[in-house]
Amino acid sequence: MDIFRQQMKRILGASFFLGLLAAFLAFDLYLISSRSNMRREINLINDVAGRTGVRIDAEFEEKFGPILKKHTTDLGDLFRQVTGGASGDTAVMLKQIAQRYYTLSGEQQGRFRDDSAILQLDGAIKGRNAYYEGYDITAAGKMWLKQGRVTGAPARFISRNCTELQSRMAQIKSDGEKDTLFFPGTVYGMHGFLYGTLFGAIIMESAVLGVLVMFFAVNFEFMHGTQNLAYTSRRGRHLPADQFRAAMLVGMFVPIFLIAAALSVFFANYHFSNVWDSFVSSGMNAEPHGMQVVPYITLRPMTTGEYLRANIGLVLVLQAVFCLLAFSVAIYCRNNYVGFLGYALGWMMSVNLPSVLPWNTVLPLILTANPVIAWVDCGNWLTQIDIFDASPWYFPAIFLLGASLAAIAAFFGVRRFRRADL
Amino acid sequence: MRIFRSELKKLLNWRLLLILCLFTGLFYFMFLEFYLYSYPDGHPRTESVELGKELVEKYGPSLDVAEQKEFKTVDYPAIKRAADRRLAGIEEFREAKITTIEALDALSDKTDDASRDLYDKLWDAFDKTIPRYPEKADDYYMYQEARDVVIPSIDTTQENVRAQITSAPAGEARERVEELEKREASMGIPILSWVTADTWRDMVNYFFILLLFTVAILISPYLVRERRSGVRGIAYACRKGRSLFAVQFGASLVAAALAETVQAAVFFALFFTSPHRVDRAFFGADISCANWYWWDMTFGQYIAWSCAVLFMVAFGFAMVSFAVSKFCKNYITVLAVQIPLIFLAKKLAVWVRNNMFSIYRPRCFESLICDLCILAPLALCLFLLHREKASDIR
Repeated sequence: MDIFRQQMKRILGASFFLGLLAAFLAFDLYLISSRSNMRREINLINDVAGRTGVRIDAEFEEKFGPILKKHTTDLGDLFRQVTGGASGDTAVMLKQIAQRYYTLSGEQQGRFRDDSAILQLDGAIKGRNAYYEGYDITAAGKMWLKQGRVTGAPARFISRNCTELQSRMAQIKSDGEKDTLFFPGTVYGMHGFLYGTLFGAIIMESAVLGVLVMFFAVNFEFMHGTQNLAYTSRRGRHLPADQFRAAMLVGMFVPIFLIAAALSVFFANYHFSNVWDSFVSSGMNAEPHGMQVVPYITLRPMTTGEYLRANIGLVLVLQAVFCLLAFSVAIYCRNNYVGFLGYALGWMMSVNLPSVLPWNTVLPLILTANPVIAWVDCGNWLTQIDIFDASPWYFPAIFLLGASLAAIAAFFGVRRFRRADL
Repeated sequence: MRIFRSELKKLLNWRLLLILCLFTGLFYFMFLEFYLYSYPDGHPRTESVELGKELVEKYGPSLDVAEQKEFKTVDYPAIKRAADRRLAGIEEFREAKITTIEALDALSDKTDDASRDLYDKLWDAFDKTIPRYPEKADDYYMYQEARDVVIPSIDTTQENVRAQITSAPAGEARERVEELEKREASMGIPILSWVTADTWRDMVNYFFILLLFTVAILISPYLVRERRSGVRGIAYACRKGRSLFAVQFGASLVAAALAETVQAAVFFALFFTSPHRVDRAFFGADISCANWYWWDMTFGQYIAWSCAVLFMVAFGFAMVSFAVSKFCKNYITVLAVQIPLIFLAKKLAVWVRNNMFSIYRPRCFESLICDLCILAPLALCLFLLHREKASDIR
């Protein structure tokens, strides 16, 4: 236990660890502040959700109607104040006031932003059925297979995914998931920002720091030429286990700390308090993906709150896999610089490899299920946007494969250390 | 000189070079291949480059008003006739009696099932006959390029100029805008393939990131390795050893310059031969009016200046890497320091390069930043050199 505590102290006291942790946190806060221009609108919509409830039905319409009317009237008043004229067309009013936006007083700018947000919200509520009503994913999948000339097992896999997606879409329509209020995705893109950008950054940072910590801990004796001391005692031969446990614990602490700090600031600035019960698959939560605007269709009904908790859990599991992989590299490669670069090259290869393999074989399907691609796809986790990660076994496969490979490599690495001669 | 060569050999050791080669290959595959071969939607726009070249050969680097008229009345109909002939050359199109662009467009407008099926069938035949990834531009795609890009740009030039005038800044910049407006009126539209311009704009940022990583990978571990092997004491103990640090500094700068040059050579070799290539024909295109630069500038000059700016920032970063290498005691610290530094350098360079030489910035802004990027790290390294001469063995 003493040695373990010593290892922990060594890692937590290392200047690189504290410095990089602070730098990463600063970057996350910078990312959060980059969206501060839409804070007012997000919080306003959250307030609206508090007054109307999140389920869009007749009762909602009754409650939302007066709010919409109030802001439409206010927009008309503002238009008269700014231009001296009148117009019955809200689009014309919005456009003309927007052109004069920087000439408005602070109070007028605030009113204009509120009015625009409510009108955009109304537009998004009315257009929430666009994807679910008008899109045949089975037909689209068939066309994609034809264009890509994909046959065999991958074609069957994709067809099955498309069929499942179609039935899930039917469920979303019937159980009312699509009719819940959320920040309009095409305007604010909050889902993509939170889970794609912010979580993406946190995963990357945690992985980098976790890997550095693992290399630092595991190769510390080699870095200082004291490995011979470790080799000469029975306890010393078990040192990698202590180093692994300490580095793993610190590695897991990194995403917990970053998530706790970043999400506290995020949710203090952008209020989600009234939309936790909204479904992620809401028709309003549709964002551009490539050439299309697509909602995030979750594998099973999930509210925003559940989705956030699931994502945090997955981040921690992914971090564990990255740390395990780092340990299995560090135990073999005693030069930290070359080891880290090798690990980074492995990341790059994991992203590239599936795309160069023949599409008509199962190889791309198998190799796509790797931790690095999971990081690349982090905004779409547990959803069926990407046909490859649309299968429920995708995440278990990633974690099992990654962890098994790393565990096997680590086992042999530790055994090699125990048996090595001076 | 012998020590210098030996230091250079240490910097360019085979293991790091191998890692660098692998990294560069993967980096090209991940970030640059798309711009070189598939931008923007999988179909390489060879036709844009070819049509641009033909226009430059015929009209010179820009199209004045008379030439614009000639293009519309003489060249455009000829391009269209060639595209018609191309469609008529496909058997399925002849069988369906769709032998002109107008007939194909009319068919695409129809919404009944029979017409849609026929249209899909014709496109299948079209795809088989006319490759999506042509080495040489096809007549049909040339027509598309002329119809969708060249003609609209001729038609909207005046509108664009008018729209830009409303957002023009005041003062000295305003005078420059007026000068450019006069130039544009007399000179006409510069002929520059949009795909070449766009890919250059986007790719050059990635190229810079590649340069940053290149110098960081090579130089960062240099002095850490030295420190870990414990030879500093020996170096301090002799007169020659005291000046070793200066030799190491020189060697790392030479290694950085060499590596940057090799990366640039590979990058330009690929860019000059890829479908979206910078052709010599486009070097003369005057782009200062379209982008409102402080100085009159052709596309060729713009490429040269962009490279110069990025090279200088990357060279400055090489000196920073050298200093980091001197300060850090182990590889982990080097990596931990370099990761945020690379990010900051990339942000700085992209910020400088976007809107480079634009009138929306002070006139000498870029040169000031470049000077700072070189002089600040140089001052730091000179300070380290001075300190090294006076320091005692610890």
